[in-house]
Amino acid sequence: MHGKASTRATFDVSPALPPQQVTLEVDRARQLEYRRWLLVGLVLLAAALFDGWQRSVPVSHGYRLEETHRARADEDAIGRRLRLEIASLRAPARIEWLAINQLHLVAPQRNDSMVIERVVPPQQPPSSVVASR
Amino acid sequence: MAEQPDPRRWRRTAGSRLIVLGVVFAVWSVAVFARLVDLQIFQRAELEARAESQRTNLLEEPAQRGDLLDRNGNVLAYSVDVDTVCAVPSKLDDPTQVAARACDALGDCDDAERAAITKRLSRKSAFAYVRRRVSVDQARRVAALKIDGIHFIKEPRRYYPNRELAAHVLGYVGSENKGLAGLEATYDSKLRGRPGHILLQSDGRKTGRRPFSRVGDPPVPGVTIELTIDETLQHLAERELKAGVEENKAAGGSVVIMDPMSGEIFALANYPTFNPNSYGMFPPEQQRNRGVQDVYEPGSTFKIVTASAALEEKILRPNDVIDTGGGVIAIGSSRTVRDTHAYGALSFTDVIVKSSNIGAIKIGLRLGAERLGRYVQRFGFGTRLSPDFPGESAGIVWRPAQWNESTLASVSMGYEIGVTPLQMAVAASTVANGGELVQPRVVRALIDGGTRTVVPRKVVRRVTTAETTAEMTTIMEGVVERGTATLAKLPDFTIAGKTGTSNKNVDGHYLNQFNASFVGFVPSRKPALTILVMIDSPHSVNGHFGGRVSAPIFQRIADAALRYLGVTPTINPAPPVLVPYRGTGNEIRVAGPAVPLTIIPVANHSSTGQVVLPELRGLSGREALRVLARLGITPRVAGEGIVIEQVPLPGTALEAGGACRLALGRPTPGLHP
Repeated sequence: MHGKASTRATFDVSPALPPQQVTLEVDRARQLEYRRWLLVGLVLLAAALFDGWQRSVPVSHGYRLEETHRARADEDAIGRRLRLEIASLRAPARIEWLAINQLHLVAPQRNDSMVIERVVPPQQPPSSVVASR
Repeated sequence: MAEQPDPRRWRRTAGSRLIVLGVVFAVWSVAVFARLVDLQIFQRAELEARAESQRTNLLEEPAQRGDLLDRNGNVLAYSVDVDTVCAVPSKLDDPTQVAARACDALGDCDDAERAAITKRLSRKSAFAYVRRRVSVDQARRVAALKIDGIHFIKEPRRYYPNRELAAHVLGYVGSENKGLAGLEATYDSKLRGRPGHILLQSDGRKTGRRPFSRVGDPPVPGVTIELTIDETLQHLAERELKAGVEENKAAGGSVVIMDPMSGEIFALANYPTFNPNSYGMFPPEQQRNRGVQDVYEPGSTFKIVTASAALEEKILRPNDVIDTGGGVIAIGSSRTVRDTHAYGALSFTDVIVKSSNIGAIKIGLRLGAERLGRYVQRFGFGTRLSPDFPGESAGIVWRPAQWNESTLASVSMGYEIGVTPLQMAVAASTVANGGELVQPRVVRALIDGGTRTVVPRKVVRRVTTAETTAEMTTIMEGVVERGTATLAKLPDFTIAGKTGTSNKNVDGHYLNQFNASFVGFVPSRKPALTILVMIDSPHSVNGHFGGRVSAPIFQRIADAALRYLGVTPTINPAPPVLVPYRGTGNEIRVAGPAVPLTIIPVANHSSTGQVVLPELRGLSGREALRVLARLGITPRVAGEGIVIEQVPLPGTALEAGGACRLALGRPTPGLHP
């Protein structure tokens, strides 16, 4: 115990020493240096973030474009299927079958219709031509 | 007293440990660095390729096959992407059960197909088709089973929405989207288009990889082909042909309807026919295009050629008398030809009108083999006429130098020569159009990327003078008026035609079966249509003569077709009426190619700031929009094609910014408005 106590150093604060006033001096040059590095760091960080953003944006747009592309292809396929269905529904044989068997229509006989030759009046000449006469 | 620890020992221990740590760290760093060097320098190419292959996928995107349209824009053949049911057999636990469930969902599997599917799924391979190109309902039912290992891929499938309509003309495509028959085969390279190659970049997710980039060479769709076929006339021809074949208990038949002036084929019908949507279910016999592939001896219809040659060569005039004797003529020492009647002395005209074989032989003998042979060739017999039919037969024509007297006699009346129905229709068209052999065709225009390229009319050669064809027309009118084809007569139109009846020759032997035909054009003095009807082996009470079998079919087709086309009667026509030009009915001549451009007057801006609406009817939709945009008028457009109606009417004053409604439409089907 004694040995241990003997190794411990003791320090006395002399009351004769007046408290020193600590004055923090503003080191302008260092501060400037610090801000410069901070700015450089921020710029680098921003550049890194921008780089990451500009890499991810096309990819996310790519996903959206691809989805739009797929949706458009699906719509095209539906459109083509519908056009095919219209063509099937408009088939002359089908219409004739429906007309005769469901609506009980009959084909017009020769006396039921008459083809009359239509004589179309000539086109009116342009006003500029009329004016020049 | 205990020994005091040496503070330097601690420092040594810490120092040695730090050295070990440092060495370990250095080794680790070197290892990492070495690995990085290995990965990034030595294995770079291989790893890059592996990453590329995982990230990117090069797909071949099939091109959309071009459509086949009729002359009015109606769809005749169309491709749609449909589902194909596939499987990964190695993933299936019980292939037999999966095959059974899939078959039940498909709904129309027979035992053979069920066994085939089971066999395919039992192979434990990485891929197998369950069934290709299923319907939407079938795909939905199979998908509802949610079987792990069953998936779908899209494949184009060709549909023919009108089923049998013009099946022989259109043909069909095989399972690999390749044209196998008809126009699908002839124009396969144009219709097929060019497949594209798409480089897809996708993310690394294991499931549901989503592509995020698509670059490459997009597919170029095939050319759309606009045909000269008129859907309605084709239906009409097929309906009447079927009725005619059934009425006459015949083996089959063909009908050709064409425009004698342009060579455009409006309809080419054959019976029996087939459904190209399921062509595999029909025997080849039914898939044969009889109209261009079947060669038959034309019989008396060929007298058109004999008579035209005689008139052109001025061997005989229409009123010259030919003695047909007692209806019998001996050719050489071993052959005798008989007429059905003993006509005695007949005029040249009546030889054709009454279809005297003796008279035709005497005309042929006076012409001689060389001259008759020359006209046979000039009328287009012995050569393929159309570029549109892959299997077209050239017919059978012997060289005139090899003809003996018997052959000359036979050819004069339409035997010992093989022709196709199309060739015979073209020969009649040559008479109808004033003596020009016009190439028959079924392709009207090719539409490639919005550009429509019209296939022009092609005159192969002049065969006879217009004077000769005028005389032939008069003679052929007599055939219908008072000759062998009175059943073809229409009360409102003059018709020129010729009947034909010939024994069928099979393997060099004449059978007691006949080909009954009739070919004619109507109205005879301003022909709109040439119609040929050929009936194979009629067996009914109507007999087997062309005048009794084929002429009535011609009459029914011509009657309906002329009314459909709005052709004005030539016998006792109703007085013409003056109608205002309103863009409805058959006066829409703007649809025809020969119509002059509509004059658009300079817009009058009145003092009140109003705009006088110009005539827009007849303009294309695009031109009309341009005019309206220039005038500051808002267009409201309905339909597609050419402007056929506008509201308000031309001359109406409109406030600037007002609206004009335009109804667009397709050209009217008639070529002779």
